[in-house]
Amino acid sequence: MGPTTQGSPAGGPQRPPGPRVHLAADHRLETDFTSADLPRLRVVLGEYAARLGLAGSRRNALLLSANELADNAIRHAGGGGLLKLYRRGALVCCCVSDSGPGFDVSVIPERPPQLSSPTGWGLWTVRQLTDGLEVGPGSGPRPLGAVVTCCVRVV
Amino acid sequence: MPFHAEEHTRIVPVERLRPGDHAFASYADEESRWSTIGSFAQTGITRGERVLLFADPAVPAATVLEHLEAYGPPVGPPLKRGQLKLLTMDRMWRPREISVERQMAGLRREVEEALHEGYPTVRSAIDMAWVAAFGADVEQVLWRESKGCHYLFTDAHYTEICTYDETRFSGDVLDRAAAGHPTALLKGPGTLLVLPIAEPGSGTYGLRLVGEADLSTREPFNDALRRIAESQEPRVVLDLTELSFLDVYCARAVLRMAAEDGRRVVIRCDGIHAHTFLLLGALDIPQLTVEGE
Repeated sequence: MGPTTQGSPAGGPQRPPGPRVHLAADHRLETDFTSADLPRLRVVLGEYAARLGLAGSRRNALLLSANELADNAIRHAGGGGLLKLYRRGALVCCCVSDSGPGFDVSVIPERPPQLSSPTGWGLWTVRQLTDGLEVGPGSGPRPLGAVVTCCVRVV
Repeated sequence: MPFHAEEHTRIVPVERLRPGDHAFASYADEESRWSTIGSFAQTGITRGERVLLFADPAVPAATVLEHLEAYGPPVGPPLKRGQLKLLTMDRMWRPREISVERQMAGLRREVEEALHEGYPTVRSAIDMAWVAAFGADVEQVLWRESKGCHYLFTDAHYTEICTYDETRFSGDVLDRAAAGHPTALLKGPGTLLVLPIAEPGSGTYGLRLVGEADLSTREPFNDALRRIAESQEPRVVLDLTELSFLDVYCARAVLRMAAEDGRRVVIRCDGIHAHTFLLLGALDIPQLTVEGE
């Protein structure tokens, strides 16, 4: 199933009559980032996500989640990483790989942390906002780094 | 005197523009220039609007397209199908002599043509470098900006941003141009303005945050929370309605402030941020009210 060409890519469900926006099925973003790129990266992500079929609150969920993954890589894993955004079936997926020390999915708390807790909030929020969150080891030389992928379903 | 667009009565991030808006923007460097134009054009393409781009006539078209692609997907396809049009302002009056009336008539023709072709709305990004490039009279341009163009915007089919190079226009021209537009834009992504709420009401301390609250704007964000903590009024209002992005750290920091402060705290925001606050436990803080859409 390719990206939807029906409905409004950025607004509500009713799109005013007019020429259809032809969405390329192969819109795919792959980009390096550092802390200096974070605001521009969100602009680019937002446009790609919309053209891959996400609208409204689902697009916002992906943007907020992608920001947390990139923010984590910047603060805990060497100041940056590689971000990919692509369509996988009915899902829009954001994958961030870094070259930090790596971590296991077990560090993500099951229950909401205390407000005073300084850690755990970012990935806990990503898990609540998305339709899937996977954490795996990177494939680079030591340290291996982490590959974190979150996906949001296109409705 | 340095030029301060943030004193404008309505200043918003570029993604908060609505159909019918006529906005002033200024830039002092290439990044700020293209981030405004690039983000505005890409959003228009995403939304299925006709996008008219009057870039600096001195910049080659291939370079303009490269800059646009730094803010979103490739623009070759929308250019090919005519959704994105690269124009120069002289096309609005040529082959006749330059005049404000002909310029306006030309813009009007572009809007009507786009609506006729079925586009629901039209947006223009106009780099004001055209003024010097085509020898326009700056007083005429300012009249057009402030008084002579309102009819284009009345039916909410047309949105326009006018971007001014701060190194090429005087402070006086920039001030008058900014004042002549109903809306002004932030300088680019990664900006956070903290402004006092003009009339917060008696016994209330109020701040309004405009732009983005993320890793890149931690300092002004934390400073805003410090100012709230140091205020004495019995009630606090935090207006986040023009905040286009709020990350998890900042949302949590706002909730911690509300939980620890003890005073009544009201957060005004749109539905996206309200959802984040609720997810992070806003309902567990009895003295906090989140007013979202």
